[in-house]
Amino acid sequence: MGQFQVGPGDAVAGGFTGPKPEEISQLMDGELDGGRVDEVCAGLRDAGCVATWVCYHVIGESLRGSATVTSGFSERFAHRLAAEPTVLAPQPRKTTPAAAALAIAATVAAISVVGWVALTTMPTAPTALATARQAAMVRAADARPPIDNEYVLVHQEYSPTTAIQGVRPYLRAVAASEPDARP
Amino acid sequence: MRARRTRAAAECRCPSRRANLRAGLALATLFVVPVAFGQDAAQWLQRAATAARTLNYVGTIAYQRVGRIETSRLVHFSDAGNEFEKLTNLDGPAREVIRQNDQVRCYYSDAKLVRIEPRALHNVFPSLLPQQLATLTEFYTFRKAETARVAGMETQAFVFEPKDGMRYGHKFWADVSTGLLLKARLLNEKGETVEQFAFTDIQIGAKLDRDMFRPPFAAPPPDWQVHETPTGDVAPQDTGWMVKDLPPGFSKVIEGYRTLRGKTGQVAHLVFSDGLVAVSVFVEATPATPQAVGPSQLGGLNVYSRPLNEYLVTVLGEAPGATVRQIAYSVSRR
Amino acid sequence: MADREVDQQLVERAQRGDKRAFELLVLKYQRKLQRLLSRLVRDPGEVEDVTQEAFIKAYRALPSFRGDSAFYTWLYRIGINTAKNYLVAMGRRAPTSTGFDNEEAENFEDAEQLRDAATPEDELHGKQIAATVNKAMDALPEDLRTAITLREIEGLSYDEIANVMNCPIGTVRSRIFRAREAIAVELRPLLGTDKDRRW
Repeated sequence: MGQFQVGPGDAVAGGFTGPKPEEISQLMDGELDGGRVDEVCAGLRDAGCVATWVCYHVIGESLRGSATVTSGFSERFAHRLAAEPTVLAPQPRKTTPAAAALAIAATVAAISVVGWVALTTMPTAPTALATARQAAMVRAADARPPIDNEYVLVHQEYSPTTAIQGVRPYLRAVAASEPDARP
Repeated sequence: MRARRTRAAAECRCPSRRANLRAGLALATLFVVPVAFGQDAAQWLQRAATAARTLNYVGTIAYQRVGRIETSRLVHFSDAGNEFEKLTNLDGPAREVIRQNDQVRCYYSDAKLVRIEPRALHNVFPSLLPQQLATLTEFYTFRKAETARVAGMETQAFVFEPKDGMRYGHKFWADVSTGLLLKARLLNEKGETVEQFAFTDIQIGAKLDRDMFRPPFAAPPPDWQVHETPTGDVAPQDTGWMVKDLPPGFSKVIEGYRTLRGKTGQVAHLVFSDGLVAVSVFVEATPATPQAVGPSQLGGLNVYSRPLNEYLVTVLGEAPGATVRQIAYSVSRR
Repeated sequence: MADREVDQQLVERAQRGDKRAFELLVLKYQRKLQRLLSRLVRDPGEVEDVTQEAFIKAYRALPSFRGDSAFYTWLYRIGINTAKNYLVAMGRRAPTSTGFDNEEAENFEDAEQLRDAATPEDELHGKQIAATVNKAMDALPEDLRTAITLREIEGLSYDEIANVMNCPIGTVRSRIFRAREAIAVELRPLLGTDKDRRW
């Protein structure tokens, strides 16, 4: 603690380096030091690390006499999960007024959600997520126009709070709008 | 984790230095006028801007709007006058934004696309025009709010409360020792949160190096596209467009033509600001494919587009839908 | 029990919006759940869909999971319901068998009792995996083999294993990891690369 190591996902150098296999081994046994759990979980993005997670589990299953194969499952499931709105469960800790306000805003702005879903679709975006959004767009009673990503990015050059928030305004463009798809 | 405090270090020696000097002069002029809380507001914002540019930090950000939440990892490094920044999506499609000084590259793994653009910052803190700082205090009430812990750090919240319904409220939480913004929130007229960025964990003063900002690949794979936006500042130009019925407090910052990807011909771009937010007006020749028009929203960003003779007007900004709509409907030729 | 702890940690992360934490849980349980549901949904071509549907339902229901039961117990019930609803929608009946409504059935590992519905390729692949793991186990030094057996088959915690093997807990940690890696070296080729995942 008090040590300034960057998280396992932060070095790039041609690919992410994830957590060490020893830590994956400990994590799956529930024996990883509590202070490391969050970082290791967050760092388990690297393809090699996820493969290790799976491999170690398959070893255990095999030893217990139940080696089932689910070829291609994870790839297909990843697409389905990506299309799901992120779930947020209220925490057992006290709900702050701010969180309550956000929840109220969500209810009141329910129509905007549909609109938002509709507006971020580009006609030929290839991902399953975009397809799900397109489907929502068709169902939406009021189809709202898509927001041009170019406009958003150009606008941000002139937004006074961009300097305070650094690259964070890019989150809007990067998270939501689909970029131009290949022709 | 305990945070080690670092003081904002060297000035960033990037092209905006001239602008910084200009702003410094402008602010100095303003300080002669005893506008106590305007000074306070400007100081907080300037401190936040400086911290964002000059400190090294890494953390996880949760971006929330209307019942959705998306998390990203942010790394920022300032070194001998150079600034590096990397933002990575932690959920949804794999995307990453890597910035080195004024150049930004966005890597969209799902669309196999790299987008390169210059990030020239105009009209941002601390380089505001003097009249913007004046309107800022005229149309917002600035006050300090509570102290709170955000991402494990002690922060001081401060609020820009709009005096009318034409703008959003802003609440910022700044780290007490460095001034770095750890949380920022946009509030509508009912006090509801429209959008929020917040660090969920952060290390200020982390040990970083340039290697962390290398792109995911040296050269894009053959099946990836690269879109490069033309560089260079846009020279101010008279486009012949104006906004007849500007909401109070907004004044024009700049006007000119831009070449934008996906648009045939140049697009007129006008920027209006009330000192805290900006609203952009884009006017393009009506596109060949019919476009849906009307209101849209992206978190705190409201958009409104409408046809105007043989043009399409699009207005967007961090302001309520009514404000953006009013501006859209009062765009006209001079 | 250690297993329940790591599941709880992952669930809590998922409940805070970390989708990947949920994916790690799916990667851990997808084979077990699919094996279970294949006893209800006999068609190997359909069982994956039903299993994925169950996981999606579990994801959507995450806010209501309070940790009173183990995650897999909760997941198991969602899985069974999903499969039963699917069969009803298809106009079929679930095979009558004891044990499905009983929580203990979740640990029903004996594949001889009810054969899983699996494609011939998957069956063969499964046999190859089992053979590879067994062979690698036999080649392990005894202390490594004991450590991983106590962990994976007996389900003992590191503390308990340290007790049984009369060694420090750090040694247990290291032995289990080295055993896993030694087996993984042989197993990884069978599980495919990231480009061509066979999981």
